[in-house]
Amino acid sequence: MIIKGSEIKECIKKSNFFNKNKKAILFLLLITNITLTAQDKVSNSVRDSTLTLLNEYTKTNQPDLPTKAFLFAEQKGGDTLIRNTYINFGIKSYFAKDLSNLVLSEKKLKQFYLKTKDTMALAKHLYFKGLYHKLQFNPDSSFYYYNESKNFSVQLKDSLEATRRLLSMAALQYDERDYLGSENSIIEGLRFVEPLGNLFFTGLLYERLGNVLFITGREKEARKNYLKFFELQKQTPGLVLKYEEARLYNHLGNTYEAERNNLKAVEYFKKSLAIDSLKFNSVYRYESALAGLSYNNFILGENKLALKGFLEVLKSRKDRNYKRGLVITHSNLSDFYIGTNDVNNSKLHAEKSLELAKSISFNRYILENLARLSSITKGEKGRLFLEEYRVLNDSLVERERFLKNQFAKVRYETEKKEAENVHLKEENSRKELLLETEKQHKIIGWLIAGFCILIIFFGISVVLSRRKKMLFKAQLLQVEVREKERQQIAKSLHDEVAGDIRMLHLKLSKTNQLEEAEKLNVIKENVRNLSHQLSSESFDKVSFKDQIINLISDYFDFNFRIKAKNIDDVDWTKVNNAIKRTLFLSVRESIQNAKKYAEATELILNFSETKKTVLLVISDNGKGFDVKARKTGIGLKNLEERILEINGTFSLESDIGKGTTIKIETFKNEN
Amino acid sequence: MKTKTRILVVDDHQLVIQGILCSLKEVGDFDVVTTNNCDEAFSLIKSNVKTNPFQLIFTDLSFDNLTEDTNLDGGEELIKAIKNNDFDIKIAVITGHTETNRVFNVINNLKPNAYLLKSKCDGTEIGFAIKKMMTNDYYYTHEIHQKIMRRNIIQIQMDEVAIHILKELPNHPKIANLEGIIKKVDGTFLKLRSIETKLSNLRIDLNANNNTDLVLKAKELGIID
Repeated sequence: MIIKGSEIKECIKKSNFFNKNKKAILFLLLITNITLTAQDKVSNSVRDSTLTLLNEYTKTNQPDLPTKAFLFAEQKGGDTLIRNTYINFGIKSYFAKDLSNLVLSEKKLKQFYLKTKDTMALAKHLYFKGLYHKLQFNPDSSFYYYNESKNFSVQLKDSLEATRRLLSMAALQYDERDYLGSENSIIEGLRFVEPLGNLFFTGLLYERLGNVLFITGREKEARKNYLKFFELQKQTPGLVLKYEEARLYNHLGNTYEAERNNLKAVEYFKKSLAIDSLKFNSVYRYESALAGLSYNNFILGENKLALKGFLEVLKSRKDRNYKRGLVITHSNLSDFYIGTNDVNNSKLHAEKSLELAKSISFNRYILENLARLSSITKGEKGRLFLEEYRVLNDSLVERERFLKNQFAKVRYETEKKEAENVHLKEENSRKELLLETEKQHKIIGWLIAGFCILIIFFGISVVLSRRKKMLFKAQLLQVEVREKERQQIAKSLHDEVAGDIRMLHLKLSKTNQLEEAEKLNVIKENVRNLSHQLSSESFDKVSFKDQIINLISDYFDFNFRIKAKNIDDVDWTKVNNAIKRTLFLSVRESIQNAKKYAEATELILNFSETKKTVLLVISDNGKGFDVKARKTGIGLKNLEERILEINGTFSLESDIGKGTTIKIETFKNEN
Repeated sequence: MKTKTRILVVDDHQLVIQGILCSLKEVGDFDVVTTNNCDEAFSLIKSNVKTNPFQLIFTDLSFDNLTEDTNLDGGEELIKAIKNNDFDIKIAVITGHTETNRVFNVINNLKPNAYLLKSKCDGTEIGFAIKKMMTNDYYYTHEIHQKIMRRNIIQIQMDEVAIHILKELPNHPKIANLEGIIKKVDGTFLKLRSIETKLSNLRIDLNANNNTDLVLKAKELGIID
């Protein structure tokens, strides 16, 4: 019975190995994809070179190739390429059992992580450490590093990587007979991978769950899981389904065999063997099926068929130098020969199996063969085998217990850490929330402060503009008041002074003092002119344009032409009267200056407006003057003062021989 | 029997009133009433309008004998009141004011039948003015007339459309041909009616008898070359 179980387990082991191969291939494809798409900085040639080196290494396993590739990538490539090169070669080193290069890749990844803080590199580094311990037959360390790697992948939210690690962990636990632990790992893996919708890995997990159920004697449930696995494989694109079918039939055959339904088992193994070209394309499955069939034939008493089958398997495995398989087949044959009472052959195969098992630390079979040899070998030798068996068995049981504890411990610590993390996270989020609220309060505070400042500024500006408006209004009022005063003086001059002078003039004329009368007449004229200058007509009675025309006509003569341009462009009804008066007086002052001092022959008034202001440009072609050298006359000074009084701007440009240009801009109104 | 022409003279200076009365005596036999303020003048006109209306009024523009009770505070107000009441009375302004703005305001807005200046006034001129007024015509003393003419010239010079019309006029025997040539400031063409109105205004402004005369006068005055 022991032999049967071992064979089955070996089959399972084999299928694991195959799974891993598949995994690796898929992984490599993925990496290649990443390298192909993500690297835009690196030229194709660098990437191609590292890939060429990788292919060469896969074929030849030359130990100096990884170092070469790493140097090349480090010199020429970007971070992603460097990392992927480490990973690719690390995986290859593992499959080639090239320990030193596996360690090299693992160390490089660690350096890379320290340099770039790339957590993915850290996860891979830990994974490679796990692989290294796997090759060193340190399942507990291997498990530890797998677990660590998995935790980082979980952190990275890389569920697929986490699932892969869990699969490896489940396999480790399975091999070390920690079936409960294995089941736990599988279920955790399923939790990660099922939401991803990755059918392939989900399938693999179900297969492994089937293995665990099978080995723990729950064959029916195991079959259900195998069927589930096959369903998922069917939906996975790119698989050659008939070989997957062989895998399923082998599993099912094993379960029926365990239930002692040998006929049904034979049926399934035959179904598997009947699959076309299985022997050439999936020799491992072929061997498993044939071994299974032979074993059941042996149980059913078909010894000839059984022996023929065993021998074929033995030959096939020898050809492939497949040691694990050979251990099992030799063990099977030893068992078979016991059944046919051929002790010599049995002993021969048992010794062969024991030797091979020892060479690859295949403990289960060392034990099995020791037990068998002790029972078929007589005397001292038999006793020695028994003694050896007892010692090894004790140590293995011890080890098993230890490993189980170790696995559980690693897991427990992880969980504890996770719980702590959750606690810390909660605390963190609580603190963050607190900080956030504080921040929000601060922001609200600032906003309120900003708003208040805005309101204050707004208030100040309103007050200022109001004051400005009022001031402006007052200034305009002042202009009006002064206008009235001027009016009054003009009237007095005209009516009283001029009237009195006229009477005096009449008297003097009557008394024949003609000379005096003439002088008085001159005075009278002056007074009249003065009065005219001071008097003004309301813009309500005579429009600004008409007044300007009147003004021009007063000063116009053929040697002094005055042109008013674009006066109609301004809507004068919208302009305050005091401002119009100021502009009118400015025009008059400018005309007088141009005529009297500048000896101009032409003067142009150009009016224009903006939305709020009126612009007046007065230019003459007179002799001009040096603005810097000469202080402006009292007339110009008055003019400027008047303009500034109503918040206008005044500018004067003049140069000797180039005429004078005065620019005036004033608001149309108090608003 | 022919009734005497009734004349109202309004001035705040007794001396001026006497001067006018003297001059009027030289001109003819009139029924003259005098007053030194506008309120009284207006009530005199109003109270006599049905029984014995005035045909003429000579008024000054500015009065310096105003009190707080004064309603009509100057010649302009008085003329406005008369015009507003549609009294059938010819108005003559006799004043010392020659400020263009004021003269323009009075003549343009109040349209008195005569505008005389105290300083240049004598019996002959008053007689001439009365003659003109009685035939419903206008008389502005020479200085005022010159002022108005000059102003019109300036206004025409500033009016680009008017200048264009005056320039184009000699080139076209018929006024109708001008339609489609003269543009407004905004670029659209002026209608024939508008052109004719403009021309008639120009003739009035420049005292021209007909369009040929208008062009000649415009050239004479330097409005066009």
